[in-house]
Amino acid sequence: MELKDINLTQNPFQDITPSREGVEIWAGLKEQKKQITNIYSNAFDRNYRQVVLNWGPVGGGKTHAAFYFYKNKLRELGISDNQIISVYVNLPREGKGAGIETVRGIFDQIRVERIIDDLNTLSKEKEENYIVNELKKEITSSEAFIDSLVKLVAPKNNLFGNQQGLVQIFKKYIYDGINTNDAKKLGIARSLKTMDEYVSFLGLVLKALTLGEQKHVFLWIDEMEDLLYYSGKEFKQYSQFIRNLTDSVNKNMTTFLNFTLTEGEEDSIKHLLGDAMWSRIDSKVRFRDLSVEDVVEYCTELISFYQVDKNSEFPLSKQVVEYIAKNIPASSLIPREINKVFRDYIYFILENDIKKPTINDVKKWQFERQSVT
Amino acid sequence: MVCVIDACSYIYLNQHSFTIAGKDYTLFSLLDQLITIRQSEVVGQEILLASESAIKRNNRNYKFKRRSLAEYDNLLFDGTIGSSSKDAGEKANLAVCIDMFKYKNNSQIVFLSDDLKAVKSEDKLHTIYDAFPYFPLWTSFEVILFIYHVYKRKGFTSDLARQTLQDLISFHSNIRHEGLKAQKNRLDINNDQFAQNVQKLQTWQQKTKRMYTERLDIIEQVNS
Repeated sequence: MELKDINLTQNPFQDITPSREGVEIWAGLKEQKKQITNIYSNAFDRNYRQVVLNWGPVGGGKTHAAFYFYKNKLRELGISDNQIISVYVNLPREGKGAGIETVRGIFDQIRVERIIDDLNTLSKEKEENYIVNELKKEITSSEAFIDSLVKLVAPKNNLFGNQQGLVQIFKKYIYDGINTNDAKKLGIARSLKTMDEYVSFLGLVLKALTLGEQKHVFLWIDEMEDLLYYSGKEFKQYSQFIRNLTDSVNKNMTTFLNFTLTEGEEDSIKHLLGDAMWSRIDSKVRFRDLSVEDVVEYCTELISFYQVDKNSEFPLSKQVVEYIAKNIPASSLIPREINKVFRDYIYFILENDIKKPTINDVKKWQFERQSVT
Repeated sequence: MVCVIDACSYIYLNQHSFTIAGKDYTLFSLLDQLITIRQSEVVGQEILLASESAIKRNNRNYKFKRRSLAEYDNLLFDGTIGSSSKDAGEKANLAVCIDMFKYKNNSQIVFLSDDLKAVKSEDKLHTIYDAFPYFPLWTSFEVILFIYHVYKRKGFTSDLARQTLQDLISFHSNIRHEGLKAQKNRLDINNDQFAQNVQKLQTWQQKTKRMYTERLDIIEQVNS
């Protein structure tokens, strides 16, 4: 029997761990979706910077949320695609140089080509020296780096004579450092060396990209719990990195920090992240264990995305979903574990040619599962 | 006060250095300034294998007063220290504690071991440890609490205490994570087991950090 024979285009529960494919779908977890949507919406209403902590158990949907909001633009909120600069990075696994690696990861995601194009377009649209003048309004901005940025993207300074050349030299600047000769030709005084310099330069680029029409940067940093692998000094440096980055881009940027808390309540996170980072957090979104009702809602919504005939309740009726959900241990009522159970059940009904599964079929499946384990 | 240290703890306490008033320290070197540190000869050998310079600088091997280590070994451990069994270091250190308490009139003895599996296991070592309830069991984490309490005014600040706490968590975690990766690469464990074990490791990290941060907060109230 094939999936279409049980009214499905594909197994809805196939992805145990979030993948960037299929992230157009959001099922269940209504409260979390609403909260994050509001954060996106408010970001444009009040253009200040904000730091959001998403926290909850492993497999609770934080990474899926990051992928979903990274990929899905918010046209229904009246926000156009080019108003959003979406960035998703993982916390580097190695603590040494983690801040600089994150900065480079952010540049990779935004793409140097886009930075050059957008800033040149902005320069053409506005009066002369618009970008420089706007960036200099902030006393925290380093004039040397403003100068570097403007020279790096200016077509007239292109050492190689084509668009690719501009990209190449910009990438050299942020990855390898440009050599003295090229620096002289471009008139760039300073290279990037320390983490603070990388953050200052990135901050300027993000500020420049959000100049002109209303734009906003949404930065997602996933797996923040891996900070506990860092040594004390590295931990402190990364906290400083987050502080410096959010301080240097003091408007038009929202940073989401995804943190898996294995047990305990919100207060525990303060101990784990430390005061320096905790004090920067403006709001929190909790991804919690689901109730049986939540599981039913999550599963039926997810199944409906993949049904051939959306008016039918098959392959799984509400009673069947509810029966399976009630038999999942309370500690496993999180999307990842739910996906595992329902994925296996879908395979069972396929293998056993069951077109309209009943609770009795579920019992048979449970018995077989227990016999195997 | 005397601290009887095992090889694991010696290594952990010497992993990271920090500066106080322009001088470099490790948790071990600071502890060494504050209290007497002793070890059994067996542990001395284990440390020597791990770090050759360690013993040459300062011999901390304990000299037994009346009974020899071999006698304690026969009386309590069925000769398993001599046969270099697992946990030989912990067993020999326990003999040091018992001897020191009985014959050197030292009542403030700390048994410092990061191999809690050995000390808290269900086997004979655990039973014997419980028979002499005079030696509080410390891990490297307790060393941080102790130093913070007694040395804060001399420069072991709250920041430094929290930094060294994170250092220890990091050191433990990375060793364990590397071990799990090696097991996965050898196909001793599958991907699911690897993920479950990493999750257990995360739980340990978070629990440990939370617990000791709370303890540091309590000490801070007394220290301030």
